[in-house]
Amino acid sequence: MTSSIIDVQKVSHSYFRDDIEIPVLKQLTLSIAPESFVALLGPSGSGKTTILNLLAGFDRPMHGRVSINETNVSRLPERQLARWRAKTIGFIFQFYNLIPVLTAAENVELPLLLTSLSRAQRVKHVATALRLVGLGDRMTHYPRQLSGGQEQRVAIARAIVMDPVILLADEPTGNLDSEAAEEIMTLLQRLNTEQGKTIVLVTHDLEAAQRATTICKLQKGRLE
Amino acid sequence: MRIFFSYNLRHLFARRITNLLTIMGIGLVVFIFVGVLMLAHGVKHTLVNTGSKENVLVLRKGAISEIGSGLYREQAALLRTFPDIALQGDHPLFSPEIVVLINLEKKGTGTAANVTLRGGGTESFRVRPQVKIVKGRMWRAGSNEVVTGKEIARRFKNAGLGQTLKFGRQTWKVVGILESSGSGFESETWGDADRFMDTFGRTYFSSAIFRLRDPSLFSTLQSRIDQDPRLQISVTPEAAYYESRSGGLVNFIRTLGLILTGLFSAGASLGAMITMYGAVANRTTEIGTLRAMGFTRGRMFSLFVFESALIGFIGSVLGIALASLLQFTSLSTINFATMSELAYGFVLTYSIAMWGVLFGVSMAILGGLLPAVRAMRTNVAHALKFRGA
Amino acid sequence: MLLRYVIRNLARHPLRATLTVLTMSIIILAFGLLRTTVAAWYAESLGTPPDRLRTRHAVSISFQLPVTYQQRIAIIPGVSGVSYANWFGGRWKDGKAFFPRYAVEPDSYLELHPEIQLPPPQREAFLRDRRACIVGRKLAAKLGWRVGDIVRLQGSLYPGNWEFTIRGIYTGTSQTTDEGSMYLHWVAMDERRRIEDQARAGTVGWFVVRMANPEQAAQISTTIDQTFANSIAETRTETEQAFRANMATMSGAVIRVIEIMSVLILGISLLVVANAMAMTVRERHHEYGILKTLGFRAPHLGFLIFGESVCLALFGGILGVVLLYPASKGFGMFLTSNLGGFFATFTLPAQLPVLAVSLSVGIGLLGAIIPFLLCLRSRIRDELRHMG
Repeated sequence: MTSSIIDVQKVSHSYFRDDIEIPVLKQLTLSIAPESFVALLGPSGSGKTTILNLLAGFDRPMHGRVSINETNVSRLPERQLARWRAKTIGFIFQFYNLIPVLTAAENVELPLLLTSLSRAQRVKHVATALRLVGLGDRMTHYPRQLSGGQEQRVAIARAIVMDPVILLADEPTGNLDSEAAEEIMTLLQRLNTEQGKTIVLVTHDLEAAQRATTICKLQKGRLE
Repeated sequence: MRIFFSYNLRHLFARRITNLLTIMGIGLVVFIFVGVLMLAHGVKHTLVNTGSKENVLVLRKGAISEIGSGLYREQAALLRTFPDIALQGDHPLFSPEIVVLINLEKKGTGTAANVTLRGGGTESFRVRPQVKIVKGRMWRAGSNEVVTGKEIARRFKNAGLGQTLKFGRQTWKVVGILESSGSGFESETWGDADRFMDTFGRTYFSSAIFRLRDPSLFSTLQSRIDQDPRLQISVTPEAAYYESRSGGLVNFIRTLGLILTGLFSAGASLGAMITMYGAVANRTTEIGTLRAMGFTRGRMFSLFVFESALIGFIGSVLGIALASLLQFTSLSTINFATMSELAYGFVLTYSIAMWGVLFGVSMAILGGLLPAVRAMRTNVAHALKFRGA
Repeated sequence: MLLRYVIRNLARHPLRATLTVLTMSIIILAFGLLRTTVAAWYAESLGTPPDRLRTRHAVSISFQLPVTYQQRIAIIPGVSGVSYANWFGGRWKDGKAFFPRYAVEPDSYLELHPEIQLPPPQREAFLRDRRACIVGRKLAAKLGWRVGDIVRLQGSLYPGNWEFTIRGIYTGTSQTTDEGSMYLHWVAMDERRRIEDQARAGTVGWFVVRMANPEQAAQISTTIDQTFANSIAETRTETEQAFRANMATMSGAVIRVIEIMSVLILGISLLVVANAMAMTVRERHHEYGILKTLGFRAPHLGFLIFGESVCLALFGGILGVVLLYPASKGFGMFLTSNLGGFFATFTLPAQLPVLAVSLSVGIGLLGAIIPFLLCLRSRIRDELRHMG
């Protein structure tokens, strides 16, 4: 499939803990088409997060190859990797990972600081992103003044402010009540259909996974 | 307590960078503290060792140092006949001496420094059995030969055995090196009294030193001398004289040194406090768990105080070990009481080391008290929830 | 924006930040006091005018020169004035309150030392009365002396009991002028020596020689010393500045110890700052991980960590310098009253605040190195795990 945006070829990976090898992924092959919404579903320890780490280049696979947009992620040197990552991938975490001492707008602005955009342009981008997640009126609030769902929406705004083609979401609803989780999933769906973002969602929540266009089940390091 | 110990030790290791930095901080402060005490003790040691308890020093009435004193030949002759003076064979142990300052050039820098020159005779050694010629020989009476103290030979140009010194428009051959267990005499140059008087155009001695038959005779001797109008002299036990010489410098080192270590230790205490607050904050969950297991508040308090004491102890030992290396160096500085150069060593004693440990540990405990109070006050329920938030 | 982040980070741990700033300020304070002490030691040699020479006995300061040398020095070309002085010694009360005492030829001595300022009536009164003395302003203030009081001394170099009436209290023209000494008439001392101690009568400790042109110092010194070469008392002449500097370096070891201490103490502050920053970085481990996922690299993280560290150190340094002003006054008063023999004046060197502040910045930068390396070394994967 040459049209795939994410291409994982025969990847095996293990962790070492106190010299004991713990295999996580075994000969995993996965390819994801542009503008699709894929949910990776599986119990904890099945290797979901490892796949995300490999996709983002936080970790390099021991065997096999990870390509994104025809770029071999596992070959990029650290410096280029960071630049590439900032441009191509947006992250959404379970615990939002906002910087507590910065306001919503400032949190969203962080990735823009690495670009050559002027201050006015940055402000514009931040406003657009926050409006897109429905928080145009919460710009000057600090994370602790927001609800969990709102915090996650700020994190999503931060993830899309650089206009990446891919969003990686690691249990984005794991820490939210069902109503807020509903909202977040709707938002992700909208970003997929309206903005054309490729989304990889890692979760063990079946209900959330059903919002995706494709569901891949992971079990002990293999796809079922 | 044993569980405490290994528990604390493991934590110290777990946060090793932070703790190492704190330990080094305390170590440095203890190093300075102990160094100051060692130097003060070294100065005292040098000067107190110089004088002996059985000896009496004679000065002109009112004079406070040998340099500023004068003793006429007639006065010396009269004193020599005093019955209180101990005899060695037929010879009274009595040594009139001329003491002056000369300038000698130091090795290395080449700057001139004041050095005490002492003119005497064989009696000078007889009254001071601790002073020995370790290399070479005694000067010949009436010759331009001198014996230099160990420290003079080491620090000054042309002062070594066999070399030739120049002072008072004459040349002087160094024929011997004297030692006296680290006392001030090692920073002096000795030679023939008559030759020195000739050289410097002096007709009188500076001082005299004699050994008492019995140290208890001193007070009666003193009152007799005070009542004799011919003499116009004062007598002091030699040990007391040299001890008073050290007063100014020891006071200087102590005052300045201790004020400053006071300030430094406030700094290190605060440093320990930062570390211990960090340790408490880092272990909130753990504190909650221990408390849930039944550890009392008092236990938690002592746990953290003990941990900071341990930091202080390790730091102190480090500081003292470092300071003990100072014993291999020595300092020379002008002694204001005599205006002449004197070499001092750093002397580490058991009690100084104990003070160092006490100082370091209490500094750390002081820094650990408030954080330990915080650990004690930690709310169990809140601490256990801490992780999730 | 990143700067704002740095500033907000500072406020996240108010307790730790306060403690660090406090520690830093105490240490910069101690550093400042040490440096001021060193400067005070050399102050006198700096405050001496360059146009004066000092002629003393070639062997050492413990030997005296005949007063008759005065006329022979005065006729040497380039010499515009000669005075002489003796170290008087003596003891006041129990000897604990020490202050320097000089027996001088008052008329010429005051003329050659314009830095000693006396009101004209007091000067007249001092010159007229052989049993008079003048004392420095600081000394008078310390011992509560007023004009007209009688100072009783017990002789040490010159035996017997001595009484002098204070006829004037002098002030110095600059901060480095010694205001803690006592001057009395050389004649008064010599009169008694003629009767009781003829061997030493008519001698002086040193001559003060004023030159018309300070640039001739080397030449005039040589001429003076050649004049007395091969006589009973050979001389050694040097500029007064050189003499004082030499006296100061003779006690060099003690001063060097103080200098070493001042460096060691900076080491302590470095450890404290590095420690506080290492703890901060460890706590924000996770946060730096997020920044890394957003594409932040070493220079950006460096800006955050170094920026915070420098701010802490700088605040501490500035606070320390601010505290230094009152503290140096108190410390100076303590030193001059307890160790007055060692320190006549105690003033803050002008460039010290700048030095202290720039050193704080340096400490801030150095202190951030280890924490920064800690932050760089860890990998995003592990940093994000921390939150789980």
